[in-house]
Amino acid sequence: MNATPIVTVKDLTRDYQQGTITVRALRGVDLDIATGEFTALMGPSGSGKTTLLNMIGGLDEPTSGTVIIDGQDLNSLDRGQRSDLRLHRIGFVFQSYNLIPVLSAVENAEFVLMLRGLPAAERRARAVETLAAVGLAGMENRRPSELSGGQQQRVAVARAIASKPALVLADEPTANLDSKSGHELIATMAKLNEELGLTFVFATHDPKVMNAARRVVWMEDGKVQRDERK
Amino acid sequence: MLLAMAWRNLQRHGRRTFITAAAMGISVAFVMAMLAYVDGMYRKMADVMINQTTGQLQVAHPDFATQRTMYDTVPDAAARLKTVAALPGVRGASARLYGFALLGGAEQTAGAQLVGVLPEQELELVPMRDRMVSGAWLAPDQTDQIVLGEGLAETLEVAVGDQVVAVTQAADGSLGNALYQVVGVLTSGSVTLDRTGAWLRLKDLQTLLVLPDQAHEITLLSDSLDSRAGDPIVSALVKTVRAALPTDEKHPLSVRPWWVVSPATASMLATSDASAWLILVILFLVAGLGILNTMLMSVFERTKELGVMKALGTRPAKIVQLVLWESLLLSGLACLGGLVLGGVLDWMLVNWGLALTTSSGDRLSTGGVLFDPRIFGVVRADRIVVTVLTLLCVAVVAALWPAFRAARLRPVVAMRDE
Ligand SMILES: Nc1ncnc2c1ncn2[C@@H]1O[C@H](COP(=O)(O)OP(=O)(O)OP(=O)(O)O)[C@@H](O)[C@H]1O
Ligand SMILES: [Mg+2]
Repeated sequence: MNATPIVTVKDLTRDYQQGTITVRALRGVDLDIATGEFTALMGPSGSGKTTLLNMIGGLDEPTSGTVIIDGQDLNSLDRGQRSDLRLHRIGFVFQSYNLIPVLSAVENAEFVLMLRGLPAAERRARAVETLAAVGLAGMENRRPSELSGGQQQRVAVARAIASKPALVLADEPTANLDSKSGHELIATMAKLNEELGLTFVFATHDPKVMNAARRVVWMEDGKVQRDERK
Repeated sequence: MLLAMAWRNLQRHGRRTFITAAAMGISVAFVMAMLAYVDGMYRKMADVMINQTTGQLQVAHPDFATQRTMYDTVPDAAARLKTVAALPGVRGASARLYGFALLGGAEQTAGAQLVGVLPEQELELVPMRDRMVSGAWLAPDQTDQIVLGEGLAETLEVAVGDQVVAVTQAADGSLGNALYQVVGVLTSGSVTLDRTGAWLRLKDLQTLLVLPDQAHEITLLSDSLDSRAGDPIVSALVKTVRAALPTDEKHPLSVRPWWVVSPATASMLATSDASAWLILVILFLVAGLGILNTMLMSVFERTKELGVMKALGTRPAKIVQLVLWESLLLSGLACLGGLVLGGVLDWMLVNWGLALTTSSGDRLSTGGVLFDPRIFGVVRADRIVVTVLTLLCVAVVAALWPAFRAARLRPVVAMRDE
C-alpha cells in the first residue's frame, strides 16, 4: 500500500427496508483507497457497488460502520457539511450523464466552480481548459442536447474534475456509451489519472474499465471478495 | 449564472410560461382597471357627497344637521362667513340657506328644494358652470334669478328665459311668494338634486323666507384632497374654526367635519375603499395558485436534475434561490405585460369613462344617492406600485413551498427518479 488513504471504509453495512423485507446491500465492507489510485469496483448486479459509492460520496448514510474521507469521518457531519464536503473534495460522474440541460457544455463544466464561488472569468478559463483536456475543444457552447452520449459524458467528466477534487467517483460511466466512446472516455480518465494524479473510483461491469484499472476490487453480496492490484 | 438558469428554465416550457404569465398579466391589468374605476367612483362620490353637499366642514346650528328645521340658523351669516373665509387653510367658504317651496311654471307645479347661495363663493365649492345644461349660473349682482335642476325644469316644463313663481311658508308664518327668472338649467351630478333642486341668491331666499342675514350652514373646504374619515387636515381646521367663532347660549354653533355631519357618507366611502382591496386579494389569490401550480410542476419534472445539483454540492439555499428567481422572472414578465395592457385600459377609463347601468337601465345608485353613471377612471401611482409589489410578493410566497420541496430533495432518491 502506498501513501495515506484518501478513503477509509471500515466495517460498512447498509440495510434497505423494502416493505417488511430487509435488503442487506452492504454487509461489512472494509476498503482503503490511496491518493492517485485508479480503482474499479466490479461485481454482479446487486452486489452493492452503487451503494458503496453513494456511501463514500456522502450521498447516503450507512446503517453501521464508518467512511473517512481525507481524515473526516462522514458520520460526524450533518447533511449541510456533507454537501460541502462533496462540493470541495469529490467529483461525480453518473451513468446517465446527468448534465444540466439548460446549461451549455462550458457552463456545465464550470457549475461546481460557480458553487465554490470562483470569479466568473477564472472559472470560465478553467472550464474551457478542462473541456479541452477531455477532448471537447470547440464544443463549449453546445447544449447537452446537441452532443452525443460520449461527448455528454466527457462534459460530465470535465464537470467532475474541473474543480480538482481529491477524489472522483464514477458509477458506470461507460454503460450508456458505445464501445468506441467508452474506450476513449476511459483513456481520457486514465490520462488524467497519470498526468494530474487524480484519484478515480469506478463502479462498472465494463471489462475495458477493468483492463485500464490498476486495482480491481471484486464485490459480491455486499462484501469485498477479492482485491487485485496490477 | 443562477439567474440565467432560471431564465432558461422558463424558456424550456415556453408555452406553459406564456400561459401562466398571460393569466397573471391579465390579472394585473384587470386589477389596475378596477382600481382606476373604483378610485374614479370614489372620487366622484366624495366630490358629490362631501364637497358639494356638506363641505369638508360645516358651521351650523347644532340641531340643523339632524332636524333640519328652518329656524336652526347661523345668525349674522355674512360676518361669520367673512371671519372663517379669512382663516388660513380655508380653500373655499360659502353660506347656504335651505327652504322648501312650491314652484310653478306656466302649466305645471312641483315641490322644490331651494338652495340660497352666494353665487361667486359657491363656485369655489361646486363647479356650477361646468354643470350648466343650458343658460348660465346665477349672476352675483342680479336679483330674482333662479337656476333649476334638469329634472325639475322638465317637470315644470320651463326653460331658460321663462319665469317661475315660488310659494312658501316664511319663518314669520306669513305666506311668502316671489317671481323668479329662470337663467339656467344644470345637472348637479346627484340625480336626486337634479329632480328637486333650485338655486337662487342667498339674499333672495333670505327675503322669501324672512330670515334676514341668516344661513343654515357655512360650508368650508380645506386643503385636503383626502376623503377618509378622521383626515388630520380637516380635523385641524375644525379646531381653528371653532376657536375663531365664539358661541354663546343664545346662538349655539357647531363646527363639524363631514364625517360627523354625515356618518353614512363616511361608511359608504370606507366600504368602497375596502372593496378595492377585496378585488386585489381575490385576483391575486388566483394568480398565486397559478404560480404555485406552475412552479410545483416545474420542480416536480426536474426532480432528477435538482437531485444531481444537490449531489454535486449545491446548498439548499441556492436551490431555493433558483426556484424563487424563476417565479420572480415569470411574474416580472407578467407585470410588464399587465402594465402595458392595464395602461391601455386605464387610458380608456380616464379619457372615455365607463357607464355602468343597472339591468333596469336606471342610473347608478349608492346608499340612496343617485349618481351620474359615467365614471372616469382615476389612476393613482401608489395603487399601481402596490399592485405590482403585491404580485411579486405573491410570486415569492407561492413559490416558497415548491422551492423548499426542491431544496429538501435527497440526492440519491431524486437521482433514481427516471
Ligand atoms: N433504495 C433502495 N431500496 C431498497 N433496496 C435497494 C435500494 N438501493 C439498492 N438496493 C438494493 O441493494 C442491493 C445493492 O444494490 P446496488 O445498486 O448497490 O447494486 P449494484 O452493484 O450497483 O448493481 P448494478 O450493477 O445493477 O448497478 C440490491 O439488492 C438492491 O436491490
Ligand atoms: Mg449500480
